[in-house]
Amino acid sequence: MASNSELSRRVRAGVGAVSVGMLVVLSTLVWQLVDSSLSRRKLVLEGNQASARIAGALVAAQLRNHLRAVEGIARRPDFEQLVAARDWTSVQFYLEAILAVHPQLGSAAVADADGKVWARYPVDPSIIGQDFSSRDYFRGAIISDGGYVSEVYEPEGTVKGSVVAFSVAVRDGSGKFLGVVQATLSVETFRLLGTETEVPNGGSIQIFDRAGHSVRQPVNEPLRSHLSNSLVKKALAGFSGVEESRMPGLDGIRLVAYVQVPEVGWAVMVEQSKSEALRPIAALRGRLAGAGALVLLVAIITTGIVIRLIRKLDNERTSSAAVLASALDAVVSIDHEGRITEFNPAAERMFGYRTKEVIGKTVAETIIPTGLPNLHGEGLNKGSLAETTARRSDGREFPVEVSVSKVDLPGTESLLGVIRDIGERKKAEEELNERESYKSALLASIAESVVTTDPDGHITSINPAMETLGGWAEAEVVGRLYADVYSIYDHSGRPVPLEKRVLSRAIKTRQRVASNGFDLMLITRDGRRVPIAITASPIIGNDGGMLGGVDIVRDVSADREVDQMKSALVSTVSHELRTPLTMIQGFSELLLTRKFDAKQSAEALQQINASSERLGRLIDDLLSVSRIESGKLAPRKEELNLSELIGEIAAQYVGVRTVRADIPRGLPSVTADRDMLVQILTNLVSNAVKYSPEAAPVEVTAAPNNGNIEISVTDRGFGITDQEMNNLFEKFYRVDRPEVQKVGGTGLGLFISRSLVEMQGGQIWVTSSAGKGSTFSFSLPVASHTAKEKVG
Amino acid sequence: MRKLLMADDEVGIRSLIRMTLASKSYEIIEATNGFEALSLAREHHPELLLLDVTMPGMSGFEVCRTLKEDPETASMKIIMLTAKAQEADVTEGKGSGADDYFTKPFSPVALLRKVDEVFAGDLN
Repeated sequence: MASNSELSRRVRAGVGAVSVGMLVVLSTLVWQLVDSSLSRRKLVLEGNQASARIAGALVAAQLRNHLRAVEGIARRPDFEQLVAARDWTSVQFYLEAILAVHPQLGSAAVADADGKVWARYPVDPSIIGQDFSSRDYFRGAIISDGGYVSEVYEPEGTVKGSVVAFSVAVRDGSGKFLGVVQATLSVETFRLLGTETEVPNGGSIQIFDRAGHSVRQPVNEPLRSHLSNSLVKKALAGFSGVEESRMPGLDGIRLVAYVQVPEVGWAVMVEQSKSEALRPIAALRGRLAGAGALVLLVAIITTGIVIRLIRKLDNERTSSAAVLASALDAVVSIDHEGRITEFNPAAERMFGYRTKEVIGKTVAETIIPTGLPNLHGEGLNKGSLAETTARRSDGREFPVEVSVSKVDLPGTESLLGVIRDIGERKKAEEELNERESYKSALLASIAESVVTTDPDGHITSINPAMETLGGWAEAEVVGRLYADVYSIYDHSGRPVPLEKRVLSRAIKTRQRVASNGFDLMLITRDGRRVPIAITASPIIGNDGGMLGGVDIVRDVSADREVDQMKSALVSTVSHELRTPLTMIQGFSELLLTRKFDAKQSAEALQQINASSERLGRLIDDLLSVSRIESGKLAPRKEELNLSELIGEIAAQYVGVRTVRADIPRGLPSVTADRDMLVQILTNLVSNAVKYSPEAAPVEVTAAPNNGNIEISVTDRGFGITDQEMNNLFEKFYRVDRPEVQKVGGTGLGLFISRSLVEMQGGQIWVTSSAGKGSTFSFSLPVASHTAKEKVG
Repeated sequence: MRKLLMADDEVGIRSLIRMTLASKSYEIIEATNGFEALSLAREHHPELLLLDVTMPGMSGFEVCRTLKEDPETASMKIIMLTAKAQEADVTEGKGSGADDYFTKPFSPVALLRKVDEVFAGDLN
């Protein structure tokens, strides 16, 4: 991102500045160090040199001093005369006088021109007369014009320790050499010299005579030449300087300032321990080094941090660039005018533009469909997600989901939009909706009641049929336990608990389970009991997981009724059959096992006979019903004379009951199937006879009506209620009254009669008044005078 | 005189039973429906009742239950006669407290034997 590189640039500049600063500081420190070190050194050395010069001057002064003293004597004319006269006693007085004036001098002596010493003070007889011509001071005095300072030597005689001799030649007026005057100075005095000019740092002042003897050498040590020391040699040669050198008898490297003692040719050296001298520098150096190290450390750490920061920023920059490049969603940045400032690869793909094509262009020109208002503004207002339409480079518009955010950067205001093509999703959503509505419509259209639950038995949906059956709306029951909402009772009247429910068993066994029979009862919302049959199936997902279950609930009231009727039928038939059977079996058994009298036998046989007939009738009726129900009956069409027919039937009851047939003469014939008509009439008449008191007559009448003949059978029985009339013509229906039940009958007669009447195109009905009697009537078409036809 | 009550709505069956049992020395009281059976039983206190199940009004089971629940009549022995032979009815029959159960068609000889047993048992 631009901002990021800007930032890192600044950071880098900062780092650069810091580095430079560090460098400056370090350089300064180092320079300081070097500079002070050097100047300190210079100081030390210069100091040393100064000390050396001073010491040299002092030595020179002292030597000169003593030499003058001797010179002074030697030049005195009276002294010269004395020496020329060889008046050694007087000379001695002069020597005494020198020493009195110059107490530092240790001794004084005079030697004649041959070098023999004749005068000495302090007196030392051992010396008198000795030849000292070979001595350095003697020879030196002769050749030097002024006085001569000798080398350090150990004298003979009483004087202890090394001395330096000052000698001057004594000459007469003409310059003739007469002898030498000499005085000695103990080198002890030079040793004290060191203490007057202190050399710091354990240093010392070294004085060397012309032969390189150390003047300040300790008393006990023998005289030694230090000419091997180059610095001594240099100094004696007249050079001066400061050098580092090792000095015999001294530790470590010494800083040595050397200088020649003027006039005398001696050397003076001021030396000190280099490390001691430069210790402050070392300390300073140490401190500066420490500070420098610290600074360096800080610099390194800072640099390390900064580098890491830069690298992190860099990483962020590259990683965010990488993220943008690899993001699947389009990322577009715009400035405050809506001009595109960034456009990632996904955006290129989504909108069909190359990044360089769109940078600088407004979103309105490029990716927002014409006519749509401020996309980014809208997105901002909505906060996070907004669904809208976008436009590809080819003009095609497609649905997108946009999330817009403001990017806070100092100096710029930019908006960042993340755009996702939701075309696929929308399509999937639509498809899903379609499927959902199809499913809903499907469920709604199924006549069966459907309940779906989750694996634990909570209702997830019910269809409209179930809403109607149970009485609860779907919204009221979703989420609740199936068993809590819908109570189901089993055949014994006990409520069925959840785990015993068909649905629970289906879910548990992962198989379809169906209830048996018609004994389950559902209690509806308003408390009604509805017989139901349930088929439940588990819903198993593709992965084998249990998703729940579905119950198909059927209202089996009708089926139950049919079933009950069938059961009733079976038991009725069974009963009807068994009763005559019982009598046949029973009476015949009695006849076989007992001795009956004639009356008893006759009765028994009579019963057997009647029962057989009864059985026969029942079987016939059942067969009729069976034939009727099979739909295979084809009534014949015959022209029949009613009065004849009716007469025949009525005749059967002669002696038993009064059956009056009142058929008008000239009644037209009917078109009917003879057997069927007989069956109908027989049934109606026998009913009338059975269900009315013995004394009551039964009347059969017939009359034409509207192209039909209506035949009526009237009895004076107990009548039939309206309720009973509803069911009268149904199979096995027998009026539930003791008078009826007592008489016995199959309950099939009227059913058969109706079927037969209607099969021939007629109608059958009953009129009755309770307690008074009933009239059963049926109609049949009048015979047309065309021939007998068989109508299929 | 020892008494036996029989109840059946079918006249023919009554006749059969009458002829079957008439030779013994106990009085046979006849009822044609359940209510009649109940009231006659209370009136005459028969030792044994032969009840047809399928009677209009009150069924044989109901009569049986009623008599058995009444401490006064609980000691009466009851034999049910029925054409129904379905399991449910047998169970109901046993549940109603009846002492025995005959399905029609029955053998009169067997019935007779049973009746004798009952009466013989009482003698002991």
